[in-house]
Amino acid sequence: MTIPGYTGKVLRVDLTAGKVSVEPINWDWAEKFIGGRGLAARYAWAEIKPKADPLGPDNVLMIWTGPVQGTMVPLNGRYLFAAKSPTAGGFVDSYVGGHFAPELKWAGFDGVIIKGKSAKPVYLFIKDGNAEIRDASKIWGKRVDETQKAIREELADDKVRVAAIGPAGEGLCKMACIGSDLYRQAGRSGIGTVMGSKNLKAVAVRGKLGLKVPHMDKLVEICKESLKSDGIDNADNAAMITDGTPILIDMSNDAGILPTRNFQAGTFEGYKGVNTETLKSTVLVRRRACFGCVLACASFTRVREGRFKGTAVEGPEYETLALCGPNCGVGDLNAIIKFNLECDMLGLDTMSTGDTVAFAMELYERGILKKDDANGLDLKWGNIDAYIQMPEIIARRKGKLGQLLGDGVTAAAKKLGGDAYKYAVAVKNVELPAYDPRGTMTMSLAYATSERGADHNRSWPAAVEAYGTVNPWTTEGKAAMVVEDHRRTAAKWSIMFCDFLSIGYPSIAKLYNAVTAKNVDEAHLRHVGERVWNLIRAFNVREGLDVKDDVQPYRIANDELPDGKTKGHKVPQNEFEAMRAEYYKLQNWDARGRPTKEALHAVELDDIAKDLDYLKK
Amino acid sequence: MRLKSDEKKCVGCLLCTVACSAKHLKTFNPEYSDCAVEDRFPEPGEYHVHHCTQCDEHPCTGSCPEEAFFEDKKLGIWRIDWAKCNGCGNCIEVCPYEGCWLSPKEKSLKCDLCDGNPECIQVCPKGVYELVKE
Repeated sequence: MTIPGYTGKVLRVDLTAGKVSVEPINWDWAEKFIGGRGLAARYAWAEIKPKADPLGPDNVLMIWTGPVQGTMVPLNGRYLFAAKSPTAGGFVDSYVGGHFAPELKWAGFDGVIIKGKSAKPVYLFIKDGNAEIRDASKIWGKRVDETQKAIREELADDKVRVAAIGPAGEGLCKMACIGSDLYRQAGRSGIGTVMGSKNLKAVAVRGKLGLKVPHMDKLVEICKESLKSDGIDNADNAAMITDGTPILIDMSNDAGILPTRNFQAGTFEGYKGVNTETLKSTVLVRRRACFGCVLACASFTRVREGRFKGTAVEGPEYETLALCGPNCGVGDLNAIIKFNLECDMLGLDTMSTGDTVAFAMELYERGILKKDDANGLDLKWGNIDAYIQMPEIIARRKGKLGQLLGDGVTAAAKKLGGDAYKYAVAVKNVELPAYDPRGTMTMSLAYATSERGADHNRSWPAAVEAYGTVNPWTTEGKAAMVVEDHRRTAAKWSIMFCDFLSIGYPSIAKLYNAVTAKNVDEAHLRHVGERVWNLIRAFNVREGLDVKDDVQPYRIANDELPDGKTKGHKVPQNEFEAMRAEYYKLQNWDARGRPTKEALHAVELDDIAKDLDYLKK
Repeated sequence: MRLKSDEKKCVGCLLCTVACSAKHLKTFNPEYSDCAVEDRFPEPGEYHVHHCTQCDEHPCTGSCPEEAFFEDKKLGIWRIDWAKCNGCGNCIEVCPYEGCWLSPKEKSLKCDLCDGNPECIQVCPKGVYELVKE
């Protein structure tokens, strides 16, 4: 069996033995789980030993694409890294755009499975159906931009696409991400930390093989039509074309959900200094697109004046603007750009880093963290001099402050003891995204039930609550929305479309069919989504995660917001718990949030059920 | 006819390159595209779009030892007959506009305007390319 759109090959890498091999993709799984998220979850189940040390050789770092990557299907410039998370403790898959994904397909591979641990720093070079493990001792220690440059020079090819960790990943900082094409990050949940634990500095890829399907002309015609109807002419994409994610700053401030001073408020007095209008009028150089994207939502920016003059970055995106801006009391866009660049090149997740700096600033302002423990820095809200040093301090765990913060806010709060936990805004050790649930209560359920810790992509009720017309302050009947999102994103990300392609099941099915020459319908894709989501949940349950981990941060449940539309609001714990119970019920999971035998059987995961101890009784 | 491009509008999606290779060689592969996009980031922070401009001088045609170039009188342009091209690279060397290059199969790639309806124009989301009649 083969399916059009796939290369049919998987690269297997054993870093302990220093060997690479090529094997056929498991076609049964490609049929059942499609690709991307689904295949990552299925391979993770098979390849990662239960209770494996996430930073030990038994963890497996994977790269996956889907059937649409490398074609002309709109917004297909996406791939993922997956592993067992060293922060959240369960399955993590982390998505990233740019131009690496098509290059991997054109180099002949659908996915890469990396096991073991190298004795010395190495990087992986994949080219046209083969790969080699190369010495990285001279590259180890370098920033992400220096790494890409060094690898391209060594390979004498400036078209090589590079995904690399920076000093943060090397030092096993739990906020480490993987930087792809310099400015695109596979972030969250310590995916870069896993790469660092394997002494793997980078994955470089060059592909000249291209990709064909038997029905090229037909596929091209459908793609050309879709690039227009699903892409450019689709009104739901309009803001992504004109502004990209920074458009959300104004919307969030208006809705009272813009994280401000470590989630102490939902509006920021200086929000106009960091909004899309300021970005466009002061620093925007040009828009950039990932491969195959007609939207081009990314902003390439350069600071034109002041102390950060000349600093250039692709970004900042909304999450970075909000969490590294207002959430740290910072309203200076130029400083955020500098902070963004430092995080990118050190290999730090901007979201977790922004939240962690905000946490430290609040502790400092409250007198819990003294200047002596803060490397002598005056960590007042919005103090740019201190703020701008934080990425280096965190990434390299410099001084007492770096030692305290390098593993994120939850770990830091544990070290500090006392009331510090009240200011640690995270779920499953992963810091919160920039949508305060106190103005979109269903977000709290979305954050709690995300398998990789607080995450806004798997389900994003803010779209209809904070920014739409659905009442944001009731939890009744809301769990169904999150269930629907979790299954839909699981299906969409298994085929591997970008989130920002605003299309429903009919278009998703149309494009999946166009590439694979299948004829599936919406019901089929819904079923696959449900299957993939249950499999991911089963993985987490196997690792010991359950209802005790599906929680909301103390602050969200207990502290009322002080101003704006969210004034006086919190997410009462009893309402949250009722919503969570309803969510489990709708999933047909037990009261502890574990998939039942029936739930797994309904999506043809009986083989998975057999491996779960709690179902054997 | 000629193909013109305004690279200031380019966002680097590379759709033009895969549409081109799909049209001519039935593969998604920028290596077999008659247009190329080079990204130069962070400095100077620009895209550079390369393709044959169907220039009046066309030094490529005279440089070819195999006489692989032939005139498409309908469009008023010069095209390459791959059956004759030996991949010597002379045309690439003499082109003042970096408008042609070698494919991995050692054949020179040069825009043929897709019989007057270029694929790159059809798929480019930002209107980078334009067909001009001059």
